[in-house]
Amino acid sequence: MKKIIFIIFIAFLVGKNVYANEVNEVIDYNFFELDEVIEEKIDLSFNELIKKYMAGEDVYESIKESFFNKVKGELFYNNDYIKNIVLISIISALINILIADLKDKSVCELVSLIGQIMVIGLATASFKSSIFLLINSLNDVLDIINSAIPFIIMFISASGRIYGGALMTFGTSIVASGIQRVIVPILAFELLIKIVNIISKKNLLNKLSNLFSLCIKWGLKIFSYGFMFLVGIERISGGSINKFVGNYFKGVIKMVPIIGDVFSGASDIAIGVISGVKNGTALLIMVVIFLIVIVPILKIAIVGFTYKMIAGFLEPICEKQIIEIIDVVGNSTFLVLSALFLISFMFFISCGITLCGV
Amino acid sequence: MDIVKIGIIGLIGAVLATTLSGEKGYSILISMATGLVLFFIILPLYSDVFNVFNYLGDNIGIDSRYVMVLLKAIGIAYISTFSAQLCRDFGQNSIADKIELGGKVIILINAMTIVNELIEEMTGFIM
Repeated sequence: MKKIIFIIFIAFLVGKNVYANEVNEVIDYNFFELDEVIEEKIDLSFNELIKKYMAGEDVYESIKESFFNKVKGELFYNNDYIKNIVLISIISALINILIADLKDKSVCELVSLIGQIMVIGLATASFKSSIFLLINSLNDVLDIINSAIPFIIMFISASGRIYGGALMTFGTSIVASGIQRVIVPILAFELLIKIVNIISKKNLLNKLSNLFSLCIKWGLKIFSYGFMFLVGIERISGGSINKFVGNYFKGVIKMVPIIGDVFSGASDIAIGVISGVKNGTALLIMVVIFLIVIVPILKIAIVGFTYKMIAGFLEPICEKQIIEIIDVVGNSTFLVLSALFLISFMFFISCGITLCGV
Repeated sequence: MDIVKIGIIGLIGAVLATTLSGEKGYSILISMATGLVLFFIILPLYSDVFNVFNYLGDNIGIDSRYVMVLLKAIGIAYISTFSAQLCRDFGQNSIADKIELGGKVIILINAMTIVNELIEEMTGFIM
Protein backbone atom coordinates (compact mmCIF):
# COMPACT_ATOMS: atom_id res chain seq x y z
CA MET A 1 0.00 0.00 0.00
CA LYS A 2 2.74 2.39 1.02
CA LYS A 3 4.64 1.68 -2.20
CA ILE A 4 1.61 2.29 -4.38
CA ILE A 5 0.88 5.64 -2.75
CA PHE A 6 4.49 6.63 -2.97
CA ILE A 7 4.62 5.81 -6.69
CA ILE A 8 1.48 7.90 -7.23
CA PHE A 9 3.10 10.83 -5.44
CA ILE A 10 6.26 10.59 -7.44
CA ALA A 11 4.63 9.99 -10.81
CA PHE A 12 1.77 12.46 -10.74
CA LEU A 13 2.29 15.06 -8.07
CA VAL A 14 5.96 15.68 -7.63
CA GLY A 15 6.95 14.85 -11.19
CA LYS A 16 10.66 15.49 -10.73
CA ASN A 17 13.01 13.56 -12.98
CA VAL A 18 16.14 12.35 -11.27
CA TYR A 19 19.03 10.94 -13.22
CA ALA A 20 22.25 9.31 -12.15
CA ASN A 21 24.35 12.34 -13.13
CA GLU A 22 22.44 14.50 -10.65
CA VAL A 23 24.50 12.93 -7.87
CA ASN A 24 26.95 15.77 -8.47
CA GLU A 25 24.21 18.23 -7.51
CA VAL A 26 23.80 16.47 -4.21
CA ILE A 27 27.51 16.60 -3.54
CA ASP A 28 27.69 20.26 -4.59
CA TYR A 29 24.66 21.23 -2.54
CA ASN A 30 25.26 24.54 -0.84
CA PHE A 31 24.79 23.77 2.84
CA PHE A 32 25.65 27.36 3.75
CA GLU A 33 22.32 28.47 2.28
CA LEU A 34 20.53 26.22 4.72
CA ASP A 35 22.65 27.64 7.52
CA GLU A 36 21.75 31.17 6.41
CA VAL A 37 18.04 30.29 6.43
CA ILE A 38 18.30 28.91 9.96
CA GLU A 39 20.33 31.91 11.10
CA GLU A 40 17.70 34.25 9.67
CA LYS A 41 14.89 32.33 11.36
CA ILE A 42 16.27 31.90 14.87
CA ASP A 43 19.47 33.99 14.98
CA LEU A 44 21.56 30.88 15.36
CA SER A 45 24.39 29.54 13.20
CA PHE A 46 23.73 25.86 12.73
CA ASN A 47 27.37 25.20 11.75
CA GLU A 48 28.56 26.83 14.96
CA LEU A 49 25.99 24.89 16.92
CA ILE A 50 27.19 21.56 15.54
CA LYS A 51 30.82 22.54 16.19
CA LYS A 52 29.97 23.46 19.79
CA TYR A 53 28.02 20.23 20.21
CA MET A 54 30.93 18.18 18.89
CA ALA A 55 33.27 20.00 21.27
CA GLY A 56 31.00 19.04 24.15
CA GLU A 57 29.90 22.58 24.96
CA ASP A 58 26.44 23.47 26.29
CA VAL A 59 24.49 24.12 23.08
CA TYR A 60 21.05 24.19 24.65
CA GLU A 61 21.91 27.37 26.55
CA SER A 62 22.74 29.22 23.31
CA ILE A 63 19.59 27.79 21.65
CA LYS A 64 17.50 29.02 24.57
CA GLU A 65 19.14 32.44 24.50
CA SER A 66 18.68 33.01 20.77
CA PHE A 67 15.10 31.75 20.92
CA PHE A 68 14.16 34.20 23.68
CA ASN A 69 15.95 37.04 21.86
CA LYS A 70 13.94 36.24 18.75
CA VAL A 71 10.73 36.02 20.75
CA LYS A 72 11.40 39.34 22.46
CA GLY A 73 12.26 41.10 19.21
CA GLU A 74 9.62 39.81 16.84
CA LEU A 75 6.72 38.33 18.69
CA PHE A 76 4.83 41.59 18.79
CA TYR A 77 5.50 42.30 15.10
CA ASN A 78 1.95 43.62 14.66
CA ASN A 79 2.24 46.06 17.54
CA ASP A 80 1.94 49.27 15.53
CA TYR A 81 -1.22 48.16 13.76
CA ILE A 82 -2.81 46.95 16.96
CA LYS A 83 -1.88 50.11 18.85
CA ASN A 84 -3.35 52.25 16.05
CA ILE A 85 -6.54 50.15 15.97
CA VAL A 86 -7.08 50.56 19.72
CA LEU A 87 -6.45 54.30 19.68
CA ILE A 88 -8.53 54.97 16.56
CA SER A 89 -11.38 52.95 18.10
CA ILE A 90 -11.21 54.98 21.31
CA ILE A 91 -10.95 58.32 19.46
CA SER A 92 -13.83 57.27 17.22
CA ALA A 93 -15.92 56.46 20.31
CA LEU A 94 -15.12 59.87 21.83
CA ILE A 95 -15.96 61.65 18.59
CA ASN A 96 -19.27 59.80 18.40
CA ILE A 97 -20.08 61.15 21.86
CA LEU A 98 -19.10 64.66 20.76
CA ILE A 99 -21.32 64.63 17.68
CA ALA A 100 -24.18 62.61 19.13
CA ASP A 101 -26.19 65.77 19.81
CA LEU A 102 -26.09 67.02 16.24
CA LYS A 103 -29.58 67.17 14.81
CA ASP A 104 -28.54 65.82 11.43
CA LYS A 105 -28.02 62.13 12.20
CA SER A 106 -26.72 61.34 8.74
CA VAL A 107 -23.66 63.54 9.45
CA CYS A 108 -23.07 61.58 12.68
CA GLU A 109 -23.27 58.31 10.75
CA LEU A 110 -20.86 59.63 8.14
CA VAL A 111 -18.28 60.62 10.75
CA SER A 112 -18.60 57.26 12.53
CA LEU A 113 -18.25 55.50 9.15
CA ILE A 114 -14.91 57.28 8.65
CA GLY A 115 -13.76 55.86 12.00
CA GLN A 116 -14.88 52.40 10.91
CA ILE A 117 -13.06 52.74 7.58
CA MET A 118 -9.85 53.60 9.42
CA VAL A 119 -10.19 50.57 11.70
CA ILE A 120 -10.91 48.35 8.68
CA GLY A 121 -7.84 49.71 6.85
CA LEU A 122 -5.56 49.06 9.80
CA ALA A 123 -7.08 45.65 10.57
CA THR A 124 -6.76 44.58 6.92
CA ALA A 125 -3.12 45.68 6.82
CA SER A 126 -2.47 43.78 10.03
CA PHE A 127 -4.21 40.66 8.73
CA LYS A 128 -2.24 40.94 5.49
CA SER A 129 1.00 40.78 7.47
CA SER A 130 -0.29 37.59 9.19
CA ILE A 131 -1.10 36.11 5.77
CA PHE A 132 2.39 37.03 4.53
CA LEU A 133 3.85 35.31 7.57
CA LEU A 134 1.89 32.16 6.65
CA ILE A 135 2.93 32.38 2.98
CA ASN A 136 6.59 32.89 3.94
CA SER A 137 6.44 29.87 6.25
CA LEU A 138 4.85 27.78 3.48
CA ASN A 139 7.51 28.95 1.02
CA ASP A 140 10.25 28.06 3.50
CA VAL A 141 8.80 24.56 3.97
CA LEU A 142 8.45 24.10 0.19
CA ASP A 143 12.00 25.36 -0.42
CA ILE A 144 13.45 22.99 2.15
CA ILE A 145 11.45 20.04 0.77
CA ASN A 146 12.36 20.85 -2.84
CA SER A 147 16.03 21.11 -1.93
CA ALA A 148 15.76 17.82 0.00
CA ILE A 149 14.25 15.86 -2.93
CA PRO A 150 17.67 14.76 -4.29
CA PHE A 151 18.62 13.51 -0.81
CA ILE A 152 15.35 11.63 -0.43
CA ILE A 153 15.75 9.99 -3.82
CA MET A 154 19.35 9.15 -2.89
CA PHE A 155 18.20 7.53 0.38
CA ILE A 156 15.60 5.49 -1.49
CA SER A 157 18.17 4.37 -4.08
CA ALA A 158 20.77 3.56 -1.43
CA SER A 159 18.47 1.66 0.95
CA GLY A 160 16.36 0.05 -1.75
CA ARG A 161 13.17 0.65 0.22
CA ILE A 162 10.60 3.38 0.50
CA TYR A 163 10.81 4.91 3.90
CA GLY A 164 8.00 6.85 5.59
CA GLY A 165 9.92 10.13 5.76
CA ALA A 166 9.77 10.45 1.97
CA LEU A 167 6.05 9.81 1.94
CA MET A 168 5.43 12.37 4.65
CA THR A 169 7.73 14.91 3.02
CA PHE A 170 5.91 14.73 -0.30
CA GLY A 171 2.58 14.86 1.56
CA THR A 172 3.73 18.01 3.38
CA SER A 173 4.77 19.59 0.10
CA ILE A 174 1.33 18.90 -1.41
CA VAL A 175 -0.50 20.27 1.63
CA ALA A 176 1.72 23.40 1.64
CA SER A 177 0.91 24.04 -2.04
CA GLY A 178 -2.79 23.38 -1.37
CA ILE A 179 -2.90 25.87 1.49
CA GLN A 180 -1.03 28.47 -0.55
CA ARG A 181 -3.20 28.15 -3.64
CA VAL A 182 -6.62 27.38 -2.18
CA ILE A 183 -6.93 28.21 1.52
CA VAL A 184 -5.09 31.57 1.55
CA PRO A 185 -7.20 33.25 -1.21
CA ILE A 186 -10.41 31.94 0.40
CA LEU A 187 -9.22 33.31 3.76
CA ALA A 188 -8.73 36.76 2.25
CA PHE A 189 -12.14 36.71 0.54
CA GLU A 190 -13.85 35.43 3.67
CA LEU A 191 -12.51 38.32 5.76
CA LEU A 192 -13.47 40.94 3.18
CA ILE A 193 -16.99 39.55 2.82
CA LYS A 194 -17.44 39.50 6.58
CA ILE A 195 -16.26 43.11 6.85
CA VAL A 196 -18.62 44.22 4.06
CA ASN A 197 -21.40 42.32 5.81
CA ILE A 198 -20.73 44.16 9.07
CA ILE A 199 -20.60 47.62 7.44
CA SER A 200 -23.82 47.00 5.50
CA LYS A 201 -25.58 46.41 8.88
CA LYS A 202 -28.13 44.21 7.10
CA ASN A 203 -26.17 40.95 7.05
CA LEU A 204 -26.86 40.59 3.34
CA LEU A 205 -23.77 38.45 2.78
CA ASN A 206 -24.17 36.29 5.86
CA LYS A 207 -24.74 33.04 3.98
CA LEU A 208 -21.85 33.67 1.58
CA SER A 209 -19.42 34.44 4.40
CA ASN A 210 -20.59 31.30 6.25
CA LEU A 211 -20.00 29.30 3.07
CA PHE A 212 -16.44 30.58 2.81
CA SER A 213 -15.82 29.79 6.49
CA LEU A 214 -17.15 26.29 5.94
CA CYS A 215 -14.89 25.85 2.88
CA ILE A 216 -11.83 26.86 4.92
CA LYS A 217 -12.75 24.60 7.83
CA TRP A 218 -13.43 21.64 5.58
CA GLY A 219 -10.31 22.32 3.53
CA LEU A 220 -8.12 22.32 6.62
CA LYS A 221 -9.86 19.23 8.00
CA ILE A 222 -9.39 17.36 4.71
CA PHE A 223 -5.69 18.19 4.74
CA SER A 224 -5.49 17.11 8.40
CA TYR A 225 -7.20 13.79 7.73
CA GLY A 226 -4.89 13.30 4.73
CA PHE A 227 -1.96 13.75 7.08
CA MET A 228 -3.43 11.28 9.57
CA PHE A 229 -3.90 8.81 6.72
CA LEU A 230 -0.22 9.09 5.77
CA VAL A 231 0.73 8.66 9.41
CA GLY A 232 -1.53 5.58 9.55
CA ILE A 233 0.30 4.08 6.61
CA GLU A 234 3.61 4.69 8.32
CA ARG A 235 2.18 3.00 11.48
CA ILE A 236 3.92 5.27 13.95
CA SER A 237 2.71 4.96 17.48
CA GLY A 238 3.67 6.20 20.87
CA GLY A 239 2.71 3.09 22.81
CA SER A 240 5.59 3.23 25.21
CA ILE A 241 5.18 6.92 25.96
CA ASN A 242 4.54 8.25 29.42
CA LYS A 243 0.77 8.76 29.75
CA PHE A 244 1.09 12.11 31.49
CA VAL A 245 3.25 13.54 28.71
CA GLY A 246 0.83 12.10 26.13
CA ASN A 247 -2.19 13.72 27.75
CA TYR A 248 -0.34 17.00 28.16
CA PHE A 249 0.51 17.19 24.45
CA LYS A 250 -3.01 16.11 23.54
CA GLY A 251 -4.43 19.00 25.58
CA VAL A 252 -2.06 21.52 23.99
CA ILE A 253 -2.83 20.37 20.44
CA LYS A 254 -6.60 20.35 21.13
CA MET A 255 -6.36 24.10 21.77
CA VAL A 256 -5.63 24.75 18.09
CA PRO A 257 -8.88 25.83 16.40
CA ILE A 258 -10.57 23.57 13.80
CA ILE A 259 -7.81 20.99 13.37
CA GLY A 260 -7.04 20.55 17.07
CA ASP A 261 -9.55 17.70 17.45
CA VAL A 262 -8.22 15.85 14.42
CA PHE A 263 -4.63 16.30 15.53
CA SER A 264 -5.09 15.45 19.20
CA GLY A 265 -4.61 11.80 18.21
CA ALA A 266 -1.39 12.75 16.48
CA SER A 267 0.20 14.01 19.68
CA ASP A 268 1.32 10.44 20.47
CA ILE A 269 2.87 10.29 17.04
CA ALA A 270 4.80 13.51 17.61
CA ILE A 271 6.22 12.20 20.87
CA GLY A 272 6.82 8.82 19.25
CA VAL A 273 8.81 10.47 16.49
CA ILE A 274 10.90 12.47 18.98
CA SER A 275 11.53 9.33 21.01
CA GLY A 276 12.54 7.55 17.82
CA VAL A 277 15.34 10.01 17.18
CA LYS A 278 18.21 8.28 18.94
CA ASN A 279 21.13 10.14 17.44
CA GLY A 280 22.21 13.22 19.47
CA THR A 281 22.92 15.36 16.39
CA ALA A 282 19.57 14.42 14.89
CA LEU A 283 17.89 15.40 18.14
CA LEU A 284 19.67 18.76 17.98
CA ILE A 285 18.37 19.21 14.43
CA MET A 286 14.86 18.40 15.69
CA VAL A 287 15.19 21.07 18.38
CA VAL A 288 16.29 23.63 15.77
CA ILE A 289 13.39 22.65 13.46
CA PHE A 290 11.00 22.97 16.39
CA LEU A 291 12.26 26.49 17.09
CA ILE A 292 11.95 27.45 13.42
CA VAL A 293 8.32 26.32 13.24
CA ILE A 294 7.19 27.50 16.67
CA VAL A 295 8.12 31.21 16.30
CA PRO A 296 5.58 32.03 13.50
CA ILE A 297 2.92 29.98 15.32
CA LEU A 298 3.47 31.96 18.52
CA LYS A 299 3.45 35.24 16.60
CA ILE A 300 0.09 34.56 14.94
CA ALA A 301 -1.45 33.08 18.10
CA ILE A 302 -0.53 36.22 20.05
CA VAL A 303 -1.95 38.52 17.35
CA GLY A 304 -5.23 36.55 17.23
CA PHE A 305 -5.52 36.56 20.99
CA THR A 306 -4.76 40.30 21.12
CA TYR A 307 -7.60 41.04 18.68
CA LYS A 308 -10.02 39.03 20.78
CA MET A 309 -8.81 40.80 23.92
CA ILE A 310 -9.16 44.27 22.33
CA ALA A 311 -12.69 43.42 21.17
CA GLY A 312 -13.56 42.38 24.71
CA PHE A 313 -12.06 45.45 26.36
CA LEU A 314 -13.46 48.00 23.91
CA GLU A 315 -16.98 46.55 23.81
CA PRO A 316 -18.41 48.92 26.47
CA ILE A 317 -17.17 52.11 24.82
CA CYS A 318 -16.94 51.52 21.07
CA GLU A 319 -19.53 51.12 18.37
CA LYS A 320 -20.88 47.65 17.69
CA GLN A 321 -19.54 47.63 14.12
CA ILE A 322 -15.97 48.44 15.16
CA ILE A 323 -16.04 45.70 17.79
CA GLU A 324 -17.41 43.20 15.26
CA ILE A 325 -14.69 44.12 12.74
CA ILE A 326 -11.95 43.58 15.34
CA ASP A 327 -13.56 40.29 16.43
CA VAL A 328 -13.85 39.03 12.84
CA VAL A 329 -10.18 39.83 12.16
CA GLY A 330 -9.32 37.88 15.34
CA ASN A 331 -11.32 34.87 14.11
CA SER A 332 -9.66 34.98 10.69
CA THR A 333 -6.24 35.21 12.35
CA PHE A 334 -7.07 32.00 14.22
CA LEU A 335 -7.87 30.35 10.87
CA VAL A 336 -4.42 31.44 9.65
CA LEU A 337 -3.03 29.91 12.85
CA SER A 338 -4.77 26.59 12.09
CA ALA A 339 -3.32 26.49 8.57
CA LEU A 340 0.15 27.37 9.86
CA PHE A 341 -0.04 24.80 12.65
CA LEU A 342 -1.12 22.11 10.17
CA ILE A 343 1.83 22.64 7.87
CA SER A 344 4.34 23.16 10.69
CA PHE A 345 3.23 19.97 12.45
CA MET A 346 3.41 17.98 9.23
CA PHE A 347 6.86 19.39 8.48
CA PHE A 348 8.07 18.61 11.99
CA ILE A 349 6.79 15.03 11.84
CA SER A 350 8.26 14.54 8.34
CA CYS A 351 11.67 15.75 9.50
CA GLY A 352 11.37 13.54 12.60
CA ILE A 353 10.56 10.43 10.59
CA THR A 354 13.37 11.19 8.15
CA LEU A 355 15.83 11.70 11.00
CA CYS A 356 14.66 8.49 12.70
CA GLY A 357 16.24 6.66 9.79
CA VAL A 358 19.57 8.48 10.15
CA MET B 1 -16.03 79.44 34.15
CA ASP B 2 -16.93 79.12 30.50
CA ILE B 3 -20.23 77.43 31.15
CA VAL B 4 -21.41 80.38 33.27
CA LYS B 5 -20.41 82.76 30.45
CA ILE B 6 -22.22 80.60 27.91
CA GLY B 7 -25.32 80.33 30.09
CA ILE B 8 -25.52 84.08 30.73
CA ILE B 9 -25.04 85.02 27.07
CA GLY B 10 -27.66 82.47 26.04
CA LEU B 11 -30.10 83.77 28.66
CA ILE B 12 -29.56 87.44 27.67
CA GLY B 13 -30.02 86.53 24.00
CA ALA B 14 -33.24 84.65 24.76
CA VAL B 15 -34.66 87.51 26.89
CA LEU B 16 -33.77 90.12 24.25
CA ALA B 17 -35.20 88.06 21.42
CA THR B 18 -38.43 87.52 23.34
CA THR B 19 -38.67 91.18 24.35
CA LEU B 20 -38.08 92.39 20.83
CA SER B 21 -40.23 89.75 19.21
CA GLY B 22 -42.72 92.47 18.28
CA GLU B 23 -40.10 94.43 16.34
CA LYS B 24 -39.80 93.27 12.76
CA GLY B 25 -36.58 91.33 12.15
CA TYR B 26 -34.84 92.20 15.44
CA SER B 27 -35.71 88.95 17.14
CA ILE B 28 -34.08 86.92 14.37
CA LEU B 29 -31.00 89.15 14.28
CA ILE B 30 -30.56 88.85 18.05
CA SER B 31 -30.91 85.07 18.02
CA MET B 32 -28.42 84.90 15.14
CA ALA B 33 -25.94 87.19 16.94
CA THR B 34 -26.32 85.18 20.16
CA GLY B 35 -25.77 81.96 18.26
CA LEU B 36 -22.62 83.33 16.61
CA VAL B 37 -21.21 84.66 19.90
CA LEU B 38 -21.86 81.30 21.58
CA PHE B 39 -20.30 79.46 18.65
CA PHE B 40 -17.11 81.53 18.82
CA ILE B 41 -16.92 81.02 22.59
CA ILE B 42 -17.40 77.26 22.27
CA LEU B 43 -15.04 76.82 19.31
CA PRO B 44 -11.78 77.60 21.21
CA LEU B 45 -12.87 75.13 23.90
CA TYR B 46 -12.65 72.41 21.28
CA SER B 47 -9.00 73.28 20.72
CA ASP B 48 -8.27 71.60 24.07
CA VAL B 49 -9.95 68.40 22.86
CA PHE B 50 -8.06 68.66 19.55
CA ASN B 51 -4.80 69.19 21.44
CA VAL B 52 -5.39 65.95 23.34
CA PHE B 53 -5.98 64.10 20.06
CA ASN B 54 -2.87 65.71 18.53
CA TYR B 55 -0.89 64.68 21.60
CA LEU B 56 -2.06 61.12 21.03
CA GLY B 57 -0.94 61.44 17.41
CA ASP B 58 2.48 62.83 18.22
CA ASN B 59 3.45 60.94 21.36
CA ILE B 60 1.77 57.55 21.32
CA GLY B 61 2.73 56.77 17.74
CA ILE B 62 -0.74 56.81 16.23
CA ASP B 63 -0.74 57.98 12.61
CA SER B 64 -1.59 61.71 12.77
CA ARG B 65 -3.26 61.62 9.33
CA TYR B 66 -6.06 59.51 10.76
CA VAL B 67 -6.55 61.83 13.71
CA MET B 68 -6.59 64.89 11.43
CA VAL B 69 -9.23 63.37 9.15
CA LEU B 70 -11.44 62.59 12.14
CA LEU B 71 -10.98 66.04 13.67
CA LYS B 72 -11.70 67.79 10.36
CA ALA B 73 -14.83 65.67 10.02
CA ILE B 74 -16.10 66.82 13.43
CA GLY B 75 -15.27 70.45 12.67
CA ILE B 76 -17.09 70.34 9.33
CA ALA B 77 -20.05 68.55 10.91
CA TYR B 78 -20.36 71.21 13.63
CA ILE B 79 -20.01 74.21 11.30
CA SER B 80 -22.44 72.84 8.71
CA THR B 81 -25.01 71.88 11.35
CA PHE B 82 -24.71 75.25 13.09
CA SER B 83 -25.06 77.20 9.82
CA ALA B 84 -27.98 75.05 8.71
CA GLN B 85 -29.67 75.63 12.06
CA LEU B 86 -29.29 79.40 11.69
CA CYS B 87 -30.82 79.24 8.23
CA ARG B 88 -33.72 77.25 9.64
CA ASP B 89 -34.20 79.99 12.26
CA PHE B 90 -34.66 82.37 9.35
CA GLY B 91 -37.15 79.97 7.87
CA GLN B 92 -34.82 79.05 5.00
CA ASN B 93 -35.11 75.27 5.15
CA SER B 94 -34.05 74.79 1.55
CA ILE B 95 -30.74 76.65 2.07
CA ALA B 96 -30.23 74.75 5.35
CA ASP B 97 -30.55 71.44 3.50
CA LYS B 98 -28.01 72.58 0.91
CA ILE B 99 -25.54 73.57 3.64
CA GLU B 100 -25.89 70.15 5.27
CA LEU B 101 -25.41 68.48 1.92
CA GLY B 102 -22.31 70.61 1.33
CA GLY B 103 -21.00 69.57 4.76
CA LYS B 104 -21.47 65.89 3.98
CA VAL B 105 -19.76 66.23 0.60
CA ILE B 106 -16.79 68.04 2.17
CA ILE B 107 -16.53 65.36 4.90
CA LEU B 108 -16.52 62.70 2.18
CA ILE B 109 -13.86 64.53 0.13
CA ASN B 110 -11.82 64.89 3.30
CA ALA B 111 -12.11 61.14 3.95
CA MET B 112 -11.27 60.15 0.37
CA THR B 113 -7.54 59.78 1.09
CA ILE B 114 -8.38 57.21 3.77
CA VAL B 115 -10.95 55.49 1.51
CA ASN B 116 -8.35 55.34 -1.29
CA GLU B 117 -5.84 53.76 1.07
CA LEU B 118 -8.43 51.21 2.15
CA ILE B 119 -9.32 50.33 -1.46
CA GLU B 120 -5.62 49.95 -2.34
CA GLU B 121 -5.07 47.82 0.76
CA MET B 122 -8.02 45.56 -0.05
CA THR B 123 -7.13 45.27 -3.74
CA GLY B 124 -3.57 44.31 -2.84
CA PHE B 125 -4.96 41.88 -0.30
CA ILE B 126 -7.12 39.98 -2.82
CA MET B 127 -4.50 40.05 -5.60
